[in-house]
Amino acid sequence: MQLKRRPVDWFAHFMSERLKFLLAAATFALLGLALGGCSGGVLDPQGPVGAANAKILLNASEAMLVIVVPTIIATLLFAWWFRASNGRARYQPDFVYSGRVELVVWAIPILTVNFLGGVIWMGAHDLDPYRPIAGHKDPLEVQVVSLDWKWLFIYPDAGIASLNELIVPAGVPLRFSLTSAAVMNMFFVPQLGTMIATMPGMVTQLNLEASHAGDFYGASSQFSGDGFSDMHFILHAVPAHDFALWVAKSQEAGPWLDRAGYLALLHQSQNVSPVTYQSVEPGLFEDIVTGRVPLGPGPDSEGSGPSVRSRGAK
Amino acid sequence: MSILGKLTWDAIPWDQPIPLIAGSVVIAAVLAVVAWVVLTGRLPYLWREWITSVDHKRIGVMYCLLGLLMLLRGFIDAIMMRLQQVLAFHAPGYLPPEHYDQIFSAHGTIMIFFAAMPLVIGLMNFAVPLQLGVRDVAFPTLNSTSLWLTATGALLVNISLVVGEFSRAGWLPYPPLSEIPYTPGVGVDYYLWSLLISGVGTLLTGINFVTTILKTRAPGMSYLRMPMFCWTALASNLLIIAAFPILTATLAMLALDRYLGFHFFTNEAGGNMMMFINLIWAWGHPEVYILVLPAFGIFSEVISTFSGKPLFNYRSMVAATMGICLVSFLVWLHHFFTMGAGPDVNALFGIASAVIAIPTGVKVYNWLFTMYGGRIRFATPMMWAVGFIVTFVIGGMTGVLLATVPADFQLHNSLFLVAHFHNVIIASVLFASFAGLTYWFPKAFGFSLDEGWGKAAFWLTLIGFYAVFIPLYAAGLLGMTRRLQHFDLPIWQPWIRIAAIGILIMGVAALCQVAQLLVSIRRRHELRDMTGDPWDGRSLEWATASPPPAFNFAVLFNVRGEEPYWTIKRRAIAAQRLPVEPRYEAIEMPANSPIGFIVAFFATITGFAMIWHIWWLVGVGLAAAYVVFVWFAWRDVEEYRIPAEEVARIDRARRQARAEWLAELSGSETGVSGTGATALGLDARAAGHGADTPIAGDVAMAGIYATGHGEGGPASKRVIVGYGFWLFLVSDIIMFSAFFAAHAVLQTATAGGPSGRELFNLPSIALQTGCLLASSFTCGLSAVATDTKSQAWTQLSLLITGLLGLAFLTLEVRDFSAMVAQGAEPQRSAFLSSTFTLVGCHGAHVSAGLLWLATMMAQVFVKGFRPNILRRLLCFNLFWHVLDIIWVALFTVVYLVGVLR
Repeated sequence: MQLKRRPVDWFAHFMSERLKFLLAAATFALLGLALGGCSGGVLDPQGPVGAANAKILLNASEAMLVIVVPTIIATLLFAWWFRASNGRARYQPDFVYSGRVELVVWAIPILTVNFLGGVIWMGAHDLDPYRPIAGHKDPLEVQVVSLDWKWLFIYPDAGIASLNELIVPAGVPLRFSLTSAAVMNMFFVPQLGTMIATMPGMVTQLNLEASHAGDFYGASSQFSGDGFSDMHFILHAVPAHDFALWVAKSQEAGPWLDRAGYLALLHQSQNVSPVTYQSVEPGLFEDIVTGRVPLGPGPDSEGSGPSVRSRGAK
Repeated sequence: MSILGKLTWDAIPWDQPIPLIAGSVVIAAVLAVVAWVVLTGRLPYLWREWITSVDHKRIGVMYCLLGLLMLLRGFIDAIMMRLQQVLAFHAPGYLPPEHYDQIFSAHGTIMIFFAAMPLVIGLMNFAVPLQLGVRDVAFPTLNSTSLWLTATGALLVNISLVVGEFSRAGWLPYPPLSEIPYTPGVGVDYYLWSLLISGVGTLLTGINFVTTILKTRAPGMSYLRMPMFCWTALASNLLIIAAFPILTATLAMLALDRYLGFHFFTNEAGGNMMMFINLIWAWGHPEVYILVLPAFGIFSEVISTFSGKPLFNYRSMVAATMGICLVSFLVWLHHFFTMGAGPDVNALFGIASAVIAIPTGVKVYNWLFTMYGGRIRFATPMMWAVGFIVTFVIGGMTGVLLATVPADFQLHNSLFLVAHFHNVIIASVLFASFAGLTYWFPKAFGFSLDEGWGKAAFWLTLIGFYAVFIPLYAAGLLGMTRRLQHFDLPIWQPWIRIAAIGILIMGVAALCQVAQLLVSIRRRHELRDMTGDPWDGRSLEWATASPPPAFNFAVLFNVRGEEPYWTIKRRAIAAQRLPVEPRYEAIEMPANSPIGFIVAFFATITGFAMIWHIWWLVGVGLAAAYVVFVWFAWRDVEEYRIPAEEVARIDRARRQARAEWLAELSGSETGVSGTGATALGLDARAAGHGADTPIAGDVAMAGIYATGHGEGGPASKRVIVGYGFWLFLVSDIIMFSAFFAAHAVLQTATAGGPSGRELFNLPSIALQTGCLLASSFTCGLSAVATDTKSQAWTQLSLLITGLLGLAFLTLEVRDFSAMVAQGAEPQRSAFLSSTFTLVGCHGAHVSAGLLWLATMMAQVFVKGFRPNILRRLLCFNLFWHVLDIIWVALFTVVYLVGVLR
C-alpha cells in the first residue's frame, strides 16, 4: 500500500534515521549532568555517614554502568545493523540457541549481583543506622518527635528543646532517638546521610555526624498529611564551642515546654516558625513513646464527629 | 443519621472550580455518548454484542478501552501535579494541599489498578486463548464479571471526583494516617471499596486464566510449546492468585478499623501500623511483576516476530519468567529499609531484590540475541520494544541501586525513587501496552493502525519520558522528597521546570495516539488486513481471520512445535497449497449473559452505599446479589450452537484470502518483487527457508488439524470447573493466611483487656469442632449418594450437613455474644479485633456455604442430577472440606494457643 508523505510520516522517518544516536547521547549527557552537578544533595555529603552512603551509591552505579552501557549500545547496534533493509547483514533464522551465549548471559548478571550482594551485605551492616559512629568523642543525644506538622528536638542532657530547627555541634557524633506523636514520618537530612522512620509508640535510632559547620536542609520524607510540605527544618552545625554557648544562652531565656505547652503543640499546624525552649519537662520523650501523654488528635473536628468533607479549606 | 447516610449536598464541591468543571465535562461527555448511542438506536447492539458478551476478544477490547480511558485520567492528574510543582516554588501554586494530596493519591491508584491492570489483562484476554489455539477462556461468564467489577472500581474512583473526595493518604494508605482520627473523610473509603470490589474481579481473572492456560490448550500444545506471552500470562495470573487475597485481607482490616472501630493498625489498643506496611507490600511487590511479566511476554512476541526469528533461548526465558515469579514474593521488605529493621534483615531482602536482576538480565540478553541475525522490520511495535530495552535497563539499574541498602537510606521516598518506578513501569507496562495494542489491533478490528502517527507518538513519548524523569532522578539526588505540594529550595527548581516541559511533550504524544486512532479509523479501507497475518506472525492467533470469528478456529490445530503457525505457513509455502479443507462440525459456544453487568451494577450500589454509610442500601445491594446468584444458577441454556455450514462458510472465506495470498507469494518468488510479499514482510528466501527438501503437497500438509483422537487438548468441563474452584479455594486459604499472620502479630496485644485464657469456652468450642467435622463427613456421604443418583439420600445427607453447620454457627454466635456481654468486644483490643475477624470470616464462609447449600438442595430437587449440578456439588464438597481444614487451623492457632499462652 502506498502512503502519502504527510508531515507526521516525515517526522517519524526523521526520528528513525537521524535522531536515534543524538537522543542516546543527549540522555547520557543529561545523566552525567545530573550525577555530576549535585551540590547540596546526597552526592555532596557533609558527614561520615553520608559520605559512606554516597560512596556505595557511586560504586554500585559504576559497577552496573559497566554492564548497562554496553548492553544499551549493543541493543542499538543490533537493532540498527540487522534492520531488514541492510543487505550486508546476514540473516540467521536458525540462531535460536547457543550454549556459549547462554552461559554468558546467565554469568554476567550472576557475577554482577554476586558482587553487589557483597556490597549490600557489608553496607547494610557498616551503615546500620543503629550503629554508633566509631569515635573519638562522646555523642550528643537528641530526641526527635515528629508532630502534625512540626519537628520537636529535645536535648535531654541540657534539658532544652527546639522546634523546627536543629542546632548541633560539628565534628561530634549525634545519637538520635526518634518517635512520632501522630502519624508516621521520616527524619531526613540529605547531606548527612541515612534517613529513618518515626513511628508512634516506637523508638527508632539513628547515628549521624556533621563534619563541618554549615546549614543543612532537613525534612520529612514520609508523606504525613496536608501540612507535610512544610515539615522541613534547618540543621545548623556549629563549632563545638559555639554550640556550648548556644546551649547556655538557650537555658537562660525563651518559653518553657511543660505538659500543657506540649498538648497545645499536638494540634495540627503548619509552617510554624522555629522556637527554642529553655526548659522541657523531664521524661517527656519516654512519656510520648509509652503513651502516658496522648498522641496527636488529628484534624480538629468541629464538634460533630468525622467531617464528611474536609477539603473545603482554601 | 439521615436516610442517605453521610451524603448531603455539601458532598459536591460547589466552591472548587477545578473538580467541578472537570466533573461537569466528564458527565457531559458521558451523557453525550449515552444520548448518541440511544438516539441512533445502537443500544440493543451495544447490549447484545458488547455489554453482555462473554467472548474473550470483546472482553479484551473493553478492558483495553477502560484502561486507555483511565490512562488518560491518570495522565491528566500527572500533568496537574507537574504544573503545581512548577508554580509552587516559594508560592502556594494553584492546588491547595487538600486537593493536591487527592491528585497524587488518585494518580497512583488509577494508574496501577485501573490503567495498567486493565490494559495488561485486556491484552491477555484478547491474545491468550488465540495463542493457545482454543475458543475461549475456561470460564467466559466469570470473565465478563471480572471486567465489570473492575469497571465498578474505576467508576467509584471517578465518582469521588464530584461526590465527596478521594483519598488523601497516598496510593497505599499507610496507617495511622489513613485511620479515622487523621483522615476522617470519605476519601479513604472510596479507595477501599473501589479496590475491594475491583480486587475480586482481578482475582477471578487470575483463577480464570490459570485454569485456561493449564487446562485448555490446543491439542499437542505442551507447556514448552506455549508462546512466551502465555507463559508470562501464566506467571502473572499465578501471582494474582497468590497476592490479591493478601490485598483484600489487608484492606478489609483497614475497613474494619475505619467502620467498626477495630484496632488492627491504629495507634491505640495495641494496633500495629507496621503490620499494614508489611502486608500491603507482600501484595505490592508481586503486583509489580503481575504487570511487568506480561509486558515482557508482549515484547518477546514482538521482537521475535519483527526480527523474523524464533525467540532466542526460549527455555531459558521460561525459566527466567518462573524465577522472577518465585523471587518476587521474597523482596517486599525493600520498600521500607528505613523503618529500622536490623542490618541482617535489610541485607537479606536487599540481596533478594538484586537477585531478581539476574533472570531479568537474562531476558534482556535473550531479546538482544533474538534481534541478532534477524531481519528487523521497524514497525511501531518494534520501535516500542527497542525503546523499552534501552529505557528499562536504566530503570533496572536504578532499581538495583535502591536495593543497595545504604543507597536506599538516602534515596528512599525521594524523587529518585519516583523516577525509578516510573522508569520501569512506563518502559515495560506502558510501552508494552502500546506495542501490544498496535500489534494485535489488526487482529481485533481487521485493519492496522496508522504507522506515521504511531511512530510520532513513540518518539514523543520517549523524548518526553526522558525529559520528565531524568530531571526527577537529579532532583532526588539533590534530596528532593516526593509528594511536596510546594518547596523553597532553589537547587531543585530547574529540574522541576525541565520535567514540566517533558510532560508537555508526553501530552503531545498522547494527542498523537488519539490522532492515530482517528486517522486509522478513517483510513481503515486502505489499512485493511486481508489475510489475518499482517506482521508475518509466528503463533496461532495469526492463523485465523482478522477479526477472528466468534469461535476463533473452525477446527482446532494439532500443535507440533514451538511456533505452530510459522511451521504451518512455511509448509504451505513450500507445498504451495493450503492444508486440505478440514471436515467442519457444529461448534458450541458459551451464550451471552448479562450476569456480569448486573452483578457489577449491584456491587457499585453496595460500594457507594458503604462509602456513604447508607446501610439500608447496602442491604438491598447484598440481597440483590444473592437473587442474581440464584437466578444465574437456575439458567438452563449455557451455550448456543453454530451450525457446521455456518462454520464452513466463514472458514472458506478465510481460506480463500489465504489462497490468494499464497498465489501472490509464489508469483513474487519468481523474481517479481510483489508488493504483497514485501508488505507482508516475507521474502522468498525467508519464506522458503527450511523447506529445502521438496515434499509432496498432501503429505506436507497432513496432520495440521486435530482429529480429536488421542491428541490431548482442552480438558473436560468437570475437570476445568473442579480445577478452577480448587484455585479459588487456594486463594481463599491465602486470604485466611493473611488474617492468621495478623493474629500472630496481635495475639499478645490485649491492651490490658482480657486474654484468650479468660475468654474462650473450650467445651463449647470442642462441640463446635465436633459439629463441623461431622458435617464434613455427611457432606462426603452426599457425594457418595450423588454417585448412585439417589435423590433421597443426597437430600438427606445435605440436610444433615446444613443442620450441623447451623448448629455450629449458633454455638459460635452464642459464645461471641457472651464475650461481648463481658465487655470483650472487638473494639477493646487489637487481640480481640483479630480474634473476632478471623473467627468471623470463617463464620461468614459457613453462612455463605449454608445459603449455597439451601439453593443447591432446591436445585437438585427441581432439576435432578444434571451435569452442571453435579459439578456444583463437587465444588460444594471441596468448599465445605476446606472450611473444615481452616477451622482446624483456627482451632489450633486462636483457641488452643490462646488458652495455653
